[in-house]
Amino acid sequence: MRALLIKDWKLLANQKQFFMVTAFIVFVFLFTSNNPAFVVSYATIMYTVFTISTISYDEYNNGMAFLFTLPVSRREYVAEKYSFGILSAGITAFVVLTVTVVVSGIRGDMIKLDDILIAEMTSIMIAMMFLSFTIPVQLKFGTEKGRIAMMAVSLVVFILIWGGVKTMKSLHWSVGSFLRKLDEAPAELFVCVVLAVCAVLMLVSAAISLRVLKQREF
Amino acid sequence: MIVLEHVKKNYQEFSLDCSLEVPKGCITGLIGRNGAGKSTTFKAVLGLIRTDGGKVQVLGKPVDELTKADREQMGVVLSDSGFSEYLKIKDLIPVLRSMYHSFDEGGFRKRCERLSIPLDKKMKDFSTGMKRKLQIIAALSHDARLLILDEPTAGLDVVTREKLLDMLREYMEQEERAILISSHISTDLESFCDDIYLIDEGKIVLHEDTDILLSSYGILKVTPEQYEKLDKSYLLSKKKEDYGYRCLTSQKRFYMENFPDLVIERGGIDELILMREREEMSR
Amino acid sequence: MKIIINNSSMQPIYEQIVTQFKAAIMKGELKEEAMLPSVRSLAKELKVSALTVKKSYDALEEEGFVITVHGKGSFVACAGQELMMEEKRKEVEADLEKAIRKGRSLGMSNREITDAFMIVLED
Repeated sequence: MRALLIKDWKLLANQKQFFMVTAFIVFVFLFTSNNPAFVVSYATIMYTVFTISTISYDEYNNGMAFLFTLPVSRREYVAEKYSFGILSAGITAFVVLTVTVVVSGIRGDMIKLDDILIAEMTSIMIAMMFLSFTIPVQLKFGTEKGRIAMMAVSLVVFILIWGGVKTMKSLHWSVGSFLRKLDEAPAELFVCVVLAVCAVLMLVSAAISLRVLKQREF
Repeated sequence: MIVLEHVKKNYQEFSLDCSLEVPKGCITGLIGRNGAGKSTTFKAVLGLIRTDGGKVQVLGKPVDELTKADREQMGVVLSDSGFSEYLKIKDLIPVLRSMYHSFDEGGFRKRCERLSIPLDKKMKDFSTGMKRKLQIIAALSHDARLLILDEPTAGLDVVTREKLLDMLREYMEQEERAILISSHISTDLESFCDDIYLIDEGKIVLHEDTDILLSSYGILKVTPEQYEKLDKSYLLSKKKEDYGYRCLTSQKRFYMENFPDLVIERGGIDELILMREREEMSR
Repeated sequence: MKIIINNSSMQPIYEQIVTQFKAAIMKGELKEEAMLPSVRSLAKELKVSALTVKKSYDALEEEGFVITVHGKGSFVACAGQELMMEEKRKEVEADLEKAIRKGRSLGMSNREITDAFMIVLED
């Protein structure tokens, strides 16, 4: 798996433009906005999402066929993609956090660590959930068809949420009070639950991805 | 090191039923027209496709039981696929170093230099020839026991082809190695392989030692009168031509000695393939 | 010694190799116990199949010119000298046979042929 991580890291490093532009935007926002939490989320999600493009790079010019003649198992390939995602999220979050603190210090702002940390955690989890949906789709359908599939999936998710809300309304459960209850719940419990859900989601996604990949012929 | 026994694969317009063997210390060639089944055979050997029947054994194991360590012993070149092309060679080196225990970085760099392959350019910007050269060098860079090469010299000029074949010949000087190679370029195979399989429409139609192919096979060009008087016991096939008949034999010597007036030409791989093609056309 | 292969010749390649090795051994270019190149390296040099080279080495061994030690290589046999003489002797006999046949076809009697032979011998 190390070799694959090095490969994807190199692919990332080669996309200097993407990096520079995003980093530039991040800096601008940090200096001008009063909402570092947003910037942190933006950066974390942007960089994590790059993981999905490493799959596109692998597929370029039918490269995947060759990849699986190398000492690389399909299990390893799937594991590496998720690991890469987690690592990207973690590293980005850490870096952006540090930078935010420094910048806030320079600006003389009060550092609202709590807010920022929550924003970080949330963005990491959002990024992970995003990957959990997109990785299996990308592996099954490839890059072009994958985009269409992604739109279909987003639509389905949207409908589910909309349907969920509607159902709750019809059952006379107030969405507002539901959210308030969540707010009142102790933070640690909340975080743990969300973390657990996230982890389960990722494992399920990984299992699906592995199955998809095992089915594929090159 | 490779054993295929009646390996079957069914596609919509094409079916494969292939048996071949690559023993240790041997260079085996696979040749055939486009669409004859060469690539499908290679994919079966490499475990890239599932088979509908038959046995595929590589390095002594069923292909789906190959471990990472086994794959490290194999060097592969595919005709339509390669390393992630958005990488540069200097990016690729740490990847290979981490992937193969026996990666010889110094040797790899030296060969890249010898063949003028730039280290600092993205591989997608390489010419076809350069991509191929790189693939072969990479396959040779980690002390593999078995090389599986699908049309490695396609698209290369004759000078480069010779350089690469020489590298492969040098590779074989160490014992207990083997190569399975496919190509369109018959002369490459004739000067390189120990034995050759000819595949057509998914089936192996000929298997012969290169040595015998070149020395015993021949093409007889005869007039209709000469054909009448000919002992046909050693003729494999014939094709009508303007001057009479063109016949393939695997016993050139017999005809050279007994019918010294006949026009007899060397029978190489190209001639074999053309004879088969012409047979079909005349049917 | 260098071996040169004629790819366009009708003579099988392994025969060409055998002939050239024999000549080298008989001329003394390859000394007794000299090691022949390994099968693969000669195959590489000549750009032919290794089986072809192996066939020629086997043929040389059968005719007594070469001994193959498994795992070590092929070496020029010590008996090379005698075989060389034998080959040369055979060649002389073959030439003589040719001359005799020619004489007979011209109608010369055995006596006349022998006389002609003595004249040439004494020169």
